[in-house]
Formats: sequence, C-alpha cells, structure tokens
Amino acid sequence: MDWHTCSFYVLSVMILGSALMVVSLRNIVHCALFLAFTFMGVAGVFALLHAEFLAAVQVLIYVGAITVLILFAVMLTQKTIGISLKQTNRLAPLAVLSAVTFLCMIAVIALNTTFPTSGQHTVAVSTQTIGSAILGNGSYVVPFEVASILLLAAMVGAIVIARGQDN
Amino acid sequence: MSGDFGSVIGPVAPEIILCVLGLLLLVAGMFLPAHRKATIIFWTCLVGLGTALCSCVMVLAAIALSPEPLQMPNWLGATLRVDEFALVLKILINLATILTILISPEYIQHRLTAGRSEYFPLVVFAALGMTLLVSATDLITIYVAMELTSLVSYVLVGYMKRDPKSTEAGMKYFLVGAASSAIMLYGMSLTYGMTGATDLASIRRAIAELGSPEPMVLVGLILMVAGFGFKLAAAPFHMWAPEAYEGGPTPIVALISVGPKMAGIAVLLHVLEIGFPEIRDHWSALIAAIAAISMVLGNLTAIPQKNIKRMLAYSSIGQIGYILIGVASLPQSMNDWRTSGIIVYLLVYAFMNIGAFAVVTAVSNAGLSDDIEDYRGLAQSSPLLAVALLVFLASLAGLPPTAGLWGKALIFGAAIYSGFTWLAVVGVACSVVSVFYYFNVVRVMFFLKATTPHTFRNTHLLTAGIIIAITGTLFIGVYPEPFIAMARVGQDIVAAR
Repeated sequence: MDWHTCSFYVLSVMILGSALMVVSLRNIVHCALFLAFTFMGVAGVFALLHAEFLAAVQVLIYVGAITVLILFAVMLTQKTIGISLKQTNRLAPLAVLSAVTFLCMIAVIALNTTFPTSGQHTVAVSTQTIGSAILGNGSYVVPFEVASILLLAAMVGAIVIARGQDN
Repeated sequence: MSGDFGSVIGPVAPEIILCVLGLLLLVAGMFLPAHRKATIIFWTCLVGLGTALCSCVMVLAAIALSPEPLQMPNWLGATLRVDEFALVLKILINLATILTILISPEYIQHRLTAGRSEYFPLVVFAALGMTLLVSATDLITIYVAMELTSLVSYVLVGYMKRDPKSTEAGMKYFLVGAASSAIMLYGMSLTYGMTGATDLASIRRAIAELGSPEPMVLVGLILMVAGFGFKLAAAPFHMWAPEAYEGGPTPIVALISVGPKMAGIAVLLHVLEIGFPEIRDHWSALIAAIAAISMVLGNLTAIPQKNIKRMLAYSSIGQIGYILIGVASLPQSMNDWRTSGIIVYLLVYAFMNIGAFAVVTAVSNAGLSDDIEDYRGLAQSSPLLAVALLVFLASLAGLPPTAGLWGKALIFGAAIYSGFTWLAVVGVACSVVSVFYYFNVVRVMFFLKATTPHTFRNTHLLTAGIIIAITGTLFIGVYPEPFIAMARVGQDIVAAR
C-alpha cells in the first residue's frame, strides 16, 4: 500500500468517525467541533485528488465560515450550551437497520461494478479551468447565476422567518 | 458575438423577465410608501407575470412557425433546452402563478403579520425556479433550479409565524425536503461516476457505450427518481404533503400543489427520455409501480379526512398517480396519446386544483375553518362558491362535462396502448372511489343546513380568479379539441435528439 492509498484510508476514517460523532454526541458545541473535523477530512480528500483549489475553498468556507457560524448561533441562542441533547428518538433502531441495509446493498453493488475510469493521470484542476467551467461559453453559466438567485431568495426567506412583525 | 440581442437572450426571455421582476419587487418593497406599497407591488407583480406569459407564447410561436429548429445561444451550453414541450409547461406555470397571485391579497391581509411585501417576490422566485426546471437538461441545473423552487416553498409554507401549524408544516417540509435532496444528489453523483457527464445527452451516450446496464446505473436512477418523487409528492414519498397542505397559507398551497408537479413531471420526462432511454423497461416498471401506489394510497386515505385541505392533499397524491401513468407509457413516437395526455391533464389540473383551493381561501377569508363540517349550507350562504367547488370537485373526480374527464381519458388511453391495461383498470377504480369523498363535500354544502349563517364578501380579484378557473375547467371540458391539438405541438417532447 503506497502512501496515497494509505492517506485515503486515514482520511476516510477521520471523515466517517467525526460524522458519526456529529450525529450522536449530546453536547452541541462538541458536535460543531467534530463537524469541522469532517470538513477538514473532505478537504484532505480534495487535496489527494489534486484539486488544491477546492481543498482551499473547502477549508475557507466550510471550516472557516460555516462551522464558526454554527458556533456563533449556538453562542447567541440561550439555553443550548451545557445541556444534554438527545439526538435520537424511539425509532432510532429502525433507522439504523434501514441505513445498514442500504449500505450493504450499495456495497455489494459497488464491489461488483467496474467504474469507467479514464486511465489518465489526474488532471491538474487550476482556478483557470474552474473559472472557464463556470463562466465560459457553453458551460455552467445558467446554474451559476441561478445559484445567486437561490442564495438571495434563501436569505430573504430566512430574514422574513426570523424578524418580528411588519410595522 | 453572433446574432442580434433577440437571438442571444430570446429563448430564455421568460426566465429573465421573472428574475428581473422578482428583484424589482424586492427593492420596491423597501422604498415604496407604506400605504401604497401593497397595491403597487400586487399590480406590478401581475403585469410582470402577464409579460412573462406573453413572452412564453411569443417564443413558442417563433419555434412553431420557423422552418428550421431554433438556434440556441451558445452561452447556454447543454444546461437548458427550450422546446415546445417546455414552453407549453412554462405557459401553464405562469398561468398557475397568476391565479395564485389573484387569490392571495385578501388572505395575506388577514393572516400575515410579517413579510407581506416579500411574499410576492418569493412567489415570483418560485415561478422562476419552476420555469427553469422544465427546460433543464443538465443534472447541475436541475439540482440548482429544484433547490430554488423548494427553498422558497419551505419559507412560504411556514410564512404564518403566529400559527403553530404553519410553522410545523414549514419545518417538516424543510426537513423531509432536505433529506430528499440529499438522496437525489447521491443518485446524481453515482450517475456521474458511471457516465462521467452531467448533461443528459452525454449520459445517454455513455450508457449506450456501457452495453448491458450496470446495476450501479440503475441505483443512481432509482435514487434520483426517489428524489423527484418527494418533490412530486408521489407515494411512497408523500409524507410531508398532508401537513404542508394543512398548515401552509392556502394560496401558497394552491401553487405548490400544482407548480412543482408540472416542473417535476417535466424533469422526470427529460431525465428518463433524454438520459436513460436505453433502460426504458426498467424505469417504466418503476414509474408504473409508483403510479399505482400513489393512486391507491392517495384515494383511499382521502376518504376519512375531516379537513378539506388534508383531503385535497391526499387527492393530489392520487392525481399525481394518474399523471405518472402517462410518464410510464410508451414514447410519443409509438403512442399518440401520451404527451397530449400529460399536457392536457396538467393544464386541467392547474385550473381545477387552484380553483378548489381558491374556494377554500374564500371560505377561510369569511372566518370559517378548513373543516369540511364548516362547509355546511354553503349553497345557501354563497351559491357562487358552492357551485364553483362543485365544478372543481367534479372535474377532479373526472366526471363529464368537466375537463377532468379528458385528461383521464387520454392518460388511460395511453396506458392501454402501452400494455399497461392493469394500470388503467386501477386508475378507473380509484376514480370511482374518489367520487365518494369529493361528493361528500358536495353533500355537506348542498344538503346540510348551516348552523350559523355567514356573509361572504369577496374581493373582485378572488372572484376573478375563481371565474377564470371555472371557465377553464368547463371550456376544456366541452371543447377539448384545440387543447389536445396544442398539446400535440409539443408531442416530440424528447424524440431522441
């Protein structure tokens, strides 16, 4: 096993382990911290695949912004720090059972599938490639622009839900 | 830069108009004087939606009249495809949004304590998401447009903050919707992993090259269909619908019971027919099963409902089952009734379902609850509303001379033609069952005496909305030929291009 495969497995354990912690711990601050570890692991996978730009963005946005935002929200919300939250209800065993069944099914199918790979070495993804994929001719201009409307609409919606009455 | 301005943005003019309208209304809401705000925003919204509707008709005319296929501006790439089928559906979506806007003002005046001026722009953004969805031919575009529609719907369903039911509905809708988006994305990523492409035409080529269908391709497709099924509220992915319909503001429920269904059906048809025609046998059986479960479960669960919005929720689960029969049928090239069936059914469904919710809105504006019990004696206190609801329910049940009959006839015809006779039989049986619960409401309205008389003073706008919906339902019912012909325009939905 070369170092590449080895680090992939290490990262996978890190991602899955901390993701499990996120959904099972009882202290919301600990959950948020483990979420940061999950995101770091994903950034590591991106780096392994030579998507350095994505890895940097992943750290900046997910670890830097989203987790910190969650921690701020926890800090500003009263009565959430220090109390023990139960993340499961009485249907938890059923949920675990169906998730494991699904996992087994996917695993069996995935092991019997040959994914078509290009055989080439990983293409170096530069910011330039990403830029022209988003804004170049015949590319993803439409979804890129729609995403900005989506974020605007989501923000307006969140403000409407969160603020008080009309004056 | 080739071509004039018109040919560069022409085909996506309806989307651009909706986008500009939404932004304009948002900004207008901040700066207009408070006492005029509601009126100006409402009329701007109505005029803007009308313009978007006209632009759809103009693009459709340009495509239908020009001898050679319309040249798509190349900045669109493979992300959007504007064809007759998409344009007919865009016209329907704009129409549904206009009807929703017409029945909204009084209701939001009574019920909303916050966000009155953001209501209309959010509705316009929902319409924008749906019009994009019916054209989308790329998995990323499909995902982004679907999220736009869904996020706006979650917010609008939970819009009545004072009402715990509305908040609960919004929360449930959001959680289930987020989970279903994750499932759909997982399916998309598996599909991308197997085919190395996000646009549907390339996915098709890649699957054809794989030869025998790999099980992983099927898993990807099934997960995507499950995600679309959530947005369509087709059984067994329907759990959110009754709560969301019961708790949400009624005009919004009218919109989300119609608009996302049109968009979802278009997405389903595009993904299946452009991306996966090679494995038609597999998905055809899958969709047929979903259709059968939706029809049976929706119609049977609707019977014991005491709340009219819940009843209409289960009825709409049944209705989506009928439409899915059309999706499961053979393609138009071999089956003359399929596309016309789907389009006519969606057109009719828009009129009758929004009409029914318009009457529910009018009744709750008069201070009554949504319980079927409260519809006692509606025929005496407001004959117009009672007769209107009678027409809409008769059409939902598929009785002549209403339009619902034609939608069902075409769809069941397409099913029999495709060898799905059993599905058509289930559909007819479910239609018979549905008469029972639809006419229970009619019985309550016409044959029971009201306990306390109520006066109905409806605004002209709401009345106009109801009258447009009645006219549509009855006109298509007695004279369906032009609409079936119009639907034929878009018949080569996705004739393998």
